[in-house]
Amino acid sequence: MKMKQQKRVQPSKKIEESLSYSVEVRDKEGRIIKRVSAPSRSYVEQWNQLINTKMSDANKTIRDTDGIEQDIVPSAWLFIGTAVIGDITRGIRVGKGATAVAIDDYALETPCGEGTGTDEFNHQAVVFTAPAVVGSTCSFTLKRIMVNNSGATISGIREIGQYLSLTLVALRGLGFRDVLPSAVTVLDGGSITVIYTIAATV
Amino acid sequence: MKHELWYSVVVRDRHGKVVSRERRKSHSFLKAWNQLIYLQMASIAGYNITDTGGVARSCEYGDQNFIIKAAAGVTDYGIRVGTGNTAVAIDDYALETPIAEGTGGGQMEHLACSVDDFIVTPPSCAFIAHRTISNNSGGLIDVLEAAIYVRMQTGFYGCGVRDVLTVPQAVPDGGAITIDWAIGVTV
Repeated sequence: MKMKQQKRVQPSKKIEESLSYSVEVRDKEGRIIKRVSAPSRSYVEQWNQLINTKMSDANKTIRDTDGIEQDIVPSAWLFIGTAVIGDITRGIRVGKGATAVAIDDYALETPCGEGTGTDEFNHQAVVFTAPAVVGSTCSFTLKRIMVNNSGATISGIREIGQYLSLTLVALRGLGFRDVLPSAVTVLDGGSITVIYTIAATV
Repeated sequence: MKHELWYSVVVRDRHGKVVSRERRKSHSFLKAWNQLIYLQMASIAGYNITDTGGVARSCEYGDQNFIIKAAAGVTDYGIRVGTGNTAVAIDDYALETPIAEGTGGGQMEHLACSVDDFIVTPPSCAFIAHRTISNNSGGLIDVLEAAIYVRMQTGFYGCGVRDVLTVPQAVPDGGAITIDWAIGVTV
């Protein structure tokens, strides 16, 4: 039977799994002194490589947060982004790097460490909200508060991102990274809160 | 920046000649997809996700979530097609009218579902999942919808992605439909 050639269709409406962030800076009394919200620009290659690893159920080579290519198996630990208080191997991080995001970023450019020393923060636990459907969108959030107990102002915060598990222990990957539109300053005793929202919309 | 999804559909006749083609941006990461991302990221157990049978199932993070690599003849997971054309809704949990495996009336034979390796071409990283589904039913079958069914950790299956095709694709007897789904991120 001769089939009629059907017309090629151009893309129309779009749907993606979208990512957005908000950043709040508070002083030591808890007053909000700055708030930034924006669409994220920044799933990076490791995110999609982890999706690929899971969907194909096959080992893949993925770069860790030290920049080393690692052989990653499709284990239960992939994607885990939780972190307890003080754990900076996983979860949301902030840093001072201002270089634009690239698909092959594998870590924050200049991450702030854990502690009370110069340019260090006390990282609280990462907190997730469960997915909720509102209208045609299903979304959830992950949030982390980082407190400045360094004894001095920490200025020049320009980047945020999320570190994920590649294995049960040791190996971590960057899931997404964003460079803020302008530098953020966190006063001594104050805090910075980063909230990422992951959404699917039809 | 978003996690992007595109699909391409190619229909061939019994001689392998392409008789129809469609390529467009997908409309359709669904609720279950985002719930699975949440389960994995938050390392959650005991969280309910509606499976492809419409039943709420207790799910957990694990090594089985998201698998779509399915052997020939397996229709519990992998790329599927159907004959429903109701618009996609965020809480769709399955194809509206999935086409079953077989050679009976309205049935199709599912070849293996495969997933290519990722390719990084700045500013993007993407990969493609494929499945060819043959029509040996003895009659013509109109395909109107396609989906990605994924495995979930506790032995059930979820619908991660669904699209209603812009043009119904008529698959002749002896022919086949091939769905390629591209999943990418771009900075």
